[in-house]
Amino acid sequence: MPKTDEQDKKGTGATFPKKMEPVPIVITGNQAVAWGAFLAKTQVISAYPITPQTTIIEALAELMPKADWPYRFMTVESEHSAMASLIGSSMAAARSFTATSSQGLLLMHELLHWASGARLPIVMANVNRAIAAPWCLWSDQQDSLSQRDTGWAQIYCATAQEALDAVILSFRVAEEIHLPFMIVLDAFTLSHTAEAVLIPSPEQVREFLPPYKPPFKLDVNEPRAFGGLPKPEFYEAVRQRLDRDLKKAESAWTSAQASWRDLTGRGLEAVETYCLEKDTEVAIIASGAAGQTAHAAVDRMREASLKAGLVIVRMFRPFPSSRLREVLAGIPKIEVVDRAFSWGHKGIWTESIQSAFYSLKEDERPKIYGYITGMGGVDITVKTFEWIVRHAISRSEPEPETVWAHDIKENTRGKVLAKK
Amino acid sequence: MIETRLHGRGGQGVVIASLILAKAAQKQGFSVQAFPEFGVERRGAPLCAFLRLDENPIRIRCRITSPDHLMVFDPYLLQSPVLVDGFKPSGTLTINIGTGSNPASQSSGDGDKAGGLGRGVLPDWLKTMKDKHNWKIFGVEASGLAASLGIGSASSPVANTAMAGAFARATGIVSLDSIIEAMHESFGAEAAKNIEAAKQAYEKVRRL
Repeated sequence: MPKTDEQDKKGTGATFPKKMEPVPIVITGNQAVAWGAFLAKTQVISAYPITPQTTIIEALAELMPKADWPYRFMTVESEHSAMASLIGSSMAAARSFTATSSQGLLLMHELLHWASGARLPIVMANVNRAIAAPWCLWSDQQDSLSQRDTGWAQIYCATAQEALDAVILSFRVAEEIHLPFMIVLDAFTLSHTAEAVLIPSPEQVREFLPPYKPPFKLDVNEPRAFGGLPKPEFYEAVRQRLDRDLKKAESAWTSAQASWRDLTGRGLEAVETYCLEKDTEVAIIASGAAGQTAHAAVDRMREASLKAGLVIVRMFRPFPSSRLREVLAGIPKIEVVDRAFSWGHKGIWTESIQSAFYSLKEDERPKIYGYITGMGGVDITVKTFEWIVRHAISRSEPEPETVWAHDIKENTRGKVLAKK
Repeated sequence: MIETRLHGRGGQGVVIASLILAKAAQKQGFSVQAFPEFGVERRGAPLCAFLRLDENPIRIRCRITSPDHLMVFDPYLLQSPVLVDGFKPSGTLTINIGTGSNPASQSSGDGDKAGGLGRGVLPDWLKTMKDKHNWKIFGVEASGLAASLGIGSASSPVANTAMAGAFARATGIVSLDSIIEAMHESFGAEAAKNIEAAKQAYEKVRRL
């Protein structure tokens, strides 16, 4: 097993903590992801560097030499090649992992469809970074949400601990339903933020995540054909199964995270709620690291007698529609905080939330307010959430168009200036 | 919640300083959060990092706009009052005044370019604001210490570990012992001289 006495030379936490009882170490979100992939006993890693993802692969390069299982660490010439090589390794029944960001994820797009169509349980971390042009290094969700229809499950993390746990949970569920998982974390506010993280013991992970043994695999001693050209009727049936099985990811995730909670004391529900009370007038829907700031904002608003609540949605695909209808039943106003846009239409989360509630009778439907903030790393603060909650409370009907929160901020500043 | 903003230049180890202080504070039971203001990384370019400490879990994940404490790794950055934006009353400001021989921040001969800070003299605007807001200002010759201990190169000493030691003394939040423990764990063979830098800075930091 990995040495426990060796000092961590570069401060990346690349050794097991000395004491194996739960002692947190201070590492970044990206280092936590690398720990997750290492503890999951990943067998093939193939990656190409891109800010702000690179430190995941750097941390893995430090961790993997401590592996006591056969593995292959590939540095390839593009993200397209990274995903292509994992499609090969996953078909050969190797547990396969990569990480990327932004333009890198977009370059993989064609192969994302292939990975899900071929039913390969690849796990990939995507560090949310805004898309060019113009160039931007900072966080928003345009890259990952643009991959909405590729057949990958998507899990949005809010803390470094969640990111580590999500990698291990994702492998377990991906291998159960035979579909790929993307775990998503915010650039910098999560990827480069150091905080205390509990490293699960290898024994805990071994119990939770058995070795990957698919029913069929690429094997020269037992030749088979994969992904060949079927007749249209067969193709259609295969595509139907893809949807059916991706939808199973929600219940599979729910039970996997319950087992993880039994083992470690930490769950990771697809939908988490806070302060949804009978008196709640407005529920904020947020995802990723901004959900944590929203949590602090709700505390402050409650102190100021603003009746706000919060739903942090971790799972974007499959979309937990019925769970959301359940937890938000009776809440009159919902405000969705988006950090990505379907240009010419509306915020991407807003669209999914609206469609989840459309099946209700009109008088049972909440009013859904859509907001955009934090594009390209614009700071999302407690005040941002206060502004948008006050905006929704003061209007009996949502605006016809998505509201850009920086417009509200400017209005507020304008009013303050006018008073002076 | 105790919020600290660290200002310096690329190559001075500002981000590592925030990380070491976070690791040290975590050993004392604090919830911690340390992160850089990420720009396009360039050696010598101004940058900052953030450090949050709290007895309760830290939820907010935005930049620090009203810091309780400030650390300034290069006194030349204090030519601009922008650096103290949002700095809370009664806060502690720890400045690296011993600028070593870093050409970007040479104190010999032209200390006045840093408003006299190269000689430990506060510029007028800072004196006025210090009195108005009751700030506690501390200075330490961190680069000089780092250079004498061979941390970094002679022309670009890395002052971060000395600054961490000075911060411990100036604020009393993080103990020197936990900083030493954090450096032991993080720096391996490089730990000894960095620990020495923190110790010396802890002893030599003075009120300005």
